[in-house]
Amino acid sequence: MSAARSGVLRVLLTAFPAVLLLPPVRAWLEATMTRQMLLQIPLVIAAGWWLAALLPRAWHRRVSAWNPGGVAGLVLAVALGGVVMTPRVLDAATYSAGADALKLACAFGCGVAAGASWRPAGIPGQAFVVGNIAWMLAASGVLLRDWPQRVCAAYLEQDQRIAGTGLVLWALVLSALWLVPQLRRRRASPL
Amino acid sequence: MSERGAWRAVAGGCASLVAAVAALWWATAGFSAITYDGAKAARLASRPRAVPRVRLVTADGAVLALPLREQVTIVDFVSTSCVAVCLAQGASLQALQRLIRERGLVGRVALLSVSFDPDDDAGRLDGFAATRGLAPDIWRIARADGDARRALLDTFDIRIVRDPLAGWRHNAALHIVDRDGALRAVHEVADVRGALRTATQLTETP
Repeated sequence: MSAARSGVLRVLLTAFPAVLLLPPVRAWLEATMTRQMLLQIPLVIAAGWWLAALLPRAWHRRVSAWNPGGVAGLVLAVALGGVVMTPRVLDAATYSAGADALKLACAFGCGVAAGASWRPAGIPGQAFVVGNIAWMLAASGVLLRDWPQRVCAAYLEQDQRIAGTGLVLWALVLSALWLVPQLRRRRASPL
Repeated sequence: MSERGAWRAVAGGCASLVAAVAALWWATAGFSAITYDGAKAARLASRPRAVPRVRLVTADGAVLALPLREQVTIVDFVSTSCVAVCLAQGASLQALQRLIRERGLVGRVALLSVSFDPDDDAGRLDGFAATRGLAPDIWRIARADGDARRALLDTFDIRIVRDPLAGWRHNAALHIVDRDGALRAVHEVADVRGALRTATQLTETP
């Protein structure tokens, strides 16, 4: 990819979170549980991660002094990830602009904290986090799919079932996204 | 790691924990619930809410003023076209109606179904009363219009969703309003005995 093209891509990726904040886009994403959980929240988390990747090395060095091994940042990221997936928060985002803003801030913060802590965590730390998140996503997905009642007042059962199935798929995708490069690297240099 | 580095690590860990706990506290309404309805029940347990003074319209066109004074009222919200949770609520209120008569609570505990559906005209309300066997001395149904509808849905935290298969969908519950017109508690639809126990206790408080 040429430098100009890569520059354009960087600008587009950096500007992308602003699109997610546009009221019609937000309303469309939050109109169903499936879109809110499987599309909006992961995209905002990814935007936070991207911001962390764009920040200069000096910033990362300074942060890692307060966040050795990425432990503090990953604890915060996992907690914020859990917060934005709470049924009460998903509901509140649909009727309260303030709650929606806080939810988006938590999702973005989750991405920044995880992005800033990922390298310092090393392979064991990453494996621990990915394993736990994948397990939690899959378990939540199965619960959502099989729960006999609606867990969100704003969404219907059918939507809840699709969101549950989607969470299980997200668990598999996340595991694969982390595991495949590790296996490739290992194959390239078995020692 | 130097001593300074160790202190920074501890401070970073503490800051992260504080932020994580604060976010979880917000998400769970003070660690009380993870769902909208759970938070509603927890909130009411510590802070009763005054039911707004509104007027409802009954099937025969009469005006019913809320809150009903001198009686503890178990309130549910319905649409006569709803074929999902409203059927379950109807079964619970039928059971409550029977228990209220059996236990001699007529005149002390009343049941009220509030229709939020603007399409629920007199004919539909009558049909609802007939099919569910509403005894007028215990259980009444009335429609809330306009501002009254908005005020009640807001006070009782009712969220309505359009369901292409089942008409309207909403968070169903049995709401207990005391004799002074304060919304005091909320019970799950199936918790008939719990709702009646709370209502009976409220009739006994001076």
